[in-house]
Amino acid sequence: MSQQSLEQRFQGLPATVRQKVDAVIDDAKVALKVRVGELLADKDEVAEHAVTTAGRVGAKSGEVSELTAIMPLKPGGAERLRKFFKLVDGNLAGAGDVGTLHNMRFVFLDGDTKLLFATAYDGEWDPYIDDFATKIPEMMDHLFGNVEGWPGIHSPEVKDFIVQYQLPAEAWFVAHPNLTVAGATRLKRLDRTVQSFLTELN
Amino acid sequence: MTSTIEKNSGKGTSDGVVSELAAFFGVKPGHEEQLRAALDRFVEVLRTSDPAETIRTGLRDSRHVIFDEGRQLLWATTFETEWDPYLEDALLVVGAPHFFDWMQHTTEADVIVQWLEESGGIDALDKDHPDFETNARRASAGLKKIIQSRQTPAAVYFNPLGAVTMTQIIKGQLLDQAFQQVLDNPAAEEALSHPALKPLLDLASS
Amino acid sequence: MDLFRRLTRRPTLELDDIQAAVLRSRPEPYYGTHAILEITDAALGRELLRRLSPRITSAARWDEPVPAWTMLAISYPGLVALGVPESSLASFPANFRAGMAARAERLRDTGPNAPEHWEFPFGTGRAHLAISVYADSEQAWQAAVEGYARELDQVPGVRLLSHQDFGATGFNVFGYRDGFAQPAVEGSGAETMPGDGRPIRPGEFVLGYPSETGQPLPMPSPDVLGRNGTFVVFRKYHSHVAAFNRFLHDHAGTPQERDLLGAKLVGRWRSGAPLALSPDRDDPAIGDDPTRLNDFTYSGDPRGLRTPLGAHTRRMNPRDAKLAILTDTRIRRIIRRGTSYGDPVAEDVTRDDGKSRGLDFIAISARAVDTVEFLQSEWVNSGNFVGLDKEKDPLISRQDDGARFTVPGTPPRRVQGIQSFNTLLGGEYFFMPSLSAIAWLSREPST
Repeated sequence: MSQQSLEQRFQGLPATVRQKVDAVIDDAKVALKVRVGELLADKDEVAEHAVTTAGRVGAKSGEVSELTAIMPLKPGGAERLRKFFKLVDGNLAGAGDVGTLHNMRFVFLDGDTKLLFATAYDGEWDPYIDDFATKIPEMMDHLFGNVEGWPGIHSPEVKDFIVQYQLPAEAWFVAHPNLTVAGATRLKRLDRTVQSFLTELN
Repeated sequence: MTSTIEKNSGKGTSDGVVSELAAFFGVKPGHEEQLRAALDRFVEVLRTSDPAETIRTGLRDSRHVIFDEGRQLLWATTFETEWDPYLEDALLVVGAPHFFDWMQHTTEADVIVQWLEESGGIDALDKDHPDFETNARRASAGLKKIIQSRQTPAAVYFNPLGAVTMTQIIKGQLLDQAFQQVLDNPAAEEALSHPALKPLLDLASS
Repeated sequence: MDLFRRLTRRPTLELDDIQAAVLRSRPEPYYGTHAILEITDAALGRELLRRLSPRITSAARWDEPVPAWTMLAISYPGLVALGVPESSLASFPANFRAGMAARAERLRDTGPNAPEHWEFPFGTGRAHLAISVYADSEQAWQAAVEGYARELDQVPGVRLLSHQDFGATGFNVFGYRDGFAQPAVEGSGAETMPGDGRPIRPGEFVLGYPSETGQPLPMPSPDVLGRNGTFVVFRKYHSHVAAFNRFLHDHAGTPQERDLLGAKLVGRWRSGAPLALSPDRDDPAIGDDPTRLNDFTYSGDPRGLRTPLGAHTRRMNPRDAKLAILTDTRIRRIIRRGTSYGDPVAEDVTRDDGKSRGLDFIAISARAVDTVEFLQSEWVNSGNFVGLDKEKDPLISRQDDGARFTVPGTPPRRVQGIQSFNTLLGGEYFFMPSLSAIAWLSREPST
């Protein structure tokens, strides 16, 4: 491969990687720099997805965490929840206001005796549990009040209650680990503005 | 955001363009540790695969959770597009051996082995096989059937980002980066002061 | 400037049982000391509390200036060292019991801010008691310090581990006025100042009263120990003022531009006047006027064109700004009793003289531990809550290499290469007991 195309390949690497390489082996042959650089770049890719812990239980990949819990339902709890979901036509838009929520699902298990709650969200949930308690207490209590032993969102035990039913994921993968909901919302807006700008331009 | 619940071909629940899949498997007695190791390998393949390919599958997230004191396994994923192309693409990206790797430690092992045999053996579905793609596409229907048989659809599924696809968001990211480059370039200052650019700049004001 | 609010209503809080620090404003100028003590003998520790208790100032008539006042707070290891019964110990919140050093990950106290780099005695588990004296004159300060030092000398079994003096005119070592933005506490009897909004429910700041949830927050038991008490978070920072000045010089050509960039980072000008009220230049007339200083909101500035979304004061108190994440900003308010130590550095000095100077961040609230942990992870060391991804607080965060600060505008300006301007030297979580709780703690526990 020619010197020039190697140089191009090196320049094509992320700036952070180039800086790292230049800082240490600035004087090396560019072929080596490309090799090392590509190795590091690959590592960065891996590091971006690196799985850490999300608070007390749960895995976090980049900025996105998972919470999975299987909780016992009160008798009739599944029926009440189903009715509620039907009433709002599956639209839990109130939960969208949370602003960190990528997705959430409720699955009934074992003949409606248990509830699987699985969600993906940005950062950690327990710093915000107090905000749920003052901002959306009715929503939280209405949904989780069907769970056996739910202490109520205002209870000091509520964090421990959730943690006790939380199941840590063995494997957790997020396709875009550094994209937060707030970030995606901003990008969506940016794209829209550019499109309308271009439309007006033409 | 649209949140209409509709059953798609994979029996999962969807919100906008995004669907969920939750499938439950029994863990083969005594296989818990091997299962954990296989799952680590499975997610490692995803992590190291080409992001462009992952985007093509529409996969947004995937988790495996072992519960019930090591007796049961939950596989829960969120993905864009329809169930059929999703699983086909997933098989193409990850390769059948990595599905087999963990599924052989579940109570579906026999069914999986049978599926592999019917599909021409594990080598035929390895990414290195010359006819891998054709073989995998042909075999995907069988794998879908197995997973569907273990699936429980969500009573409700909610996704605030359900109305946009990742491709759209990636486009936005690239646009944002290019735009930042322009903003960071001192030579662009004069051009940027043109009033026609104001709406754009207002948006990028922070 | 007169920082004292007037007492215009009948207080409903038990002010004579609550420590002064909760409601009493820091005078201007101020002098004082933070002392940290270790208790090596439970009975003698209780003896010290008995002797000190008459010196601990209550919040009664918090509006009337006094020459000096003394506050006392106890860490979890301190409660253990005093022989507090297990049932009471277990009633304290888990993060308070773990202590600040153990919570480093949650607090984002990593790298140079990590506990292994802390100054003695922080993070050793030996910082049992904190005694702080605040005074309006040097003499009053010395008299108060001599007062508690005399008691200390009488009691073996209690060791003075550190003794840090502080004092300033009301301007911190960076040259910015500070310490004047405080929440209005319902039931304190304080007049409402322009910009206060609805006073915050008292249970947010003092245990045993209704909080913003409508209910009192959980409190340590027995009631005599918990009621009228609160929590204090203490964090000592070393300030890199020369680096801050250099950053302004590197990115702004004229003194006016430097002033503006500095204000964009802080959210206020050096006089204390907020960008929200005076967007283009400092206005000391506002800075000197307690009725105008806090009389503003952010809802009319959603993009941060006046006050950047990432500016320090806007992050720490977003007021009515719309945040990207569901947050109740009313439960994140803290009473600040922070102090400055060391000489200020003039704004044209860009070379570090190596001297010790900085800020003691002191936050008081019934949920101070939760709140500071929240602030550190969500509002200080992240930008996600205002859609700024990984951008961090320009003053008190730990910045990564290649970090930047966005000054919104048309076009916005990305100021590259922002560094950490404050390094954490250590800190502790404390419980600030009521006066009756101090009396209870100084008695031998009945078993």
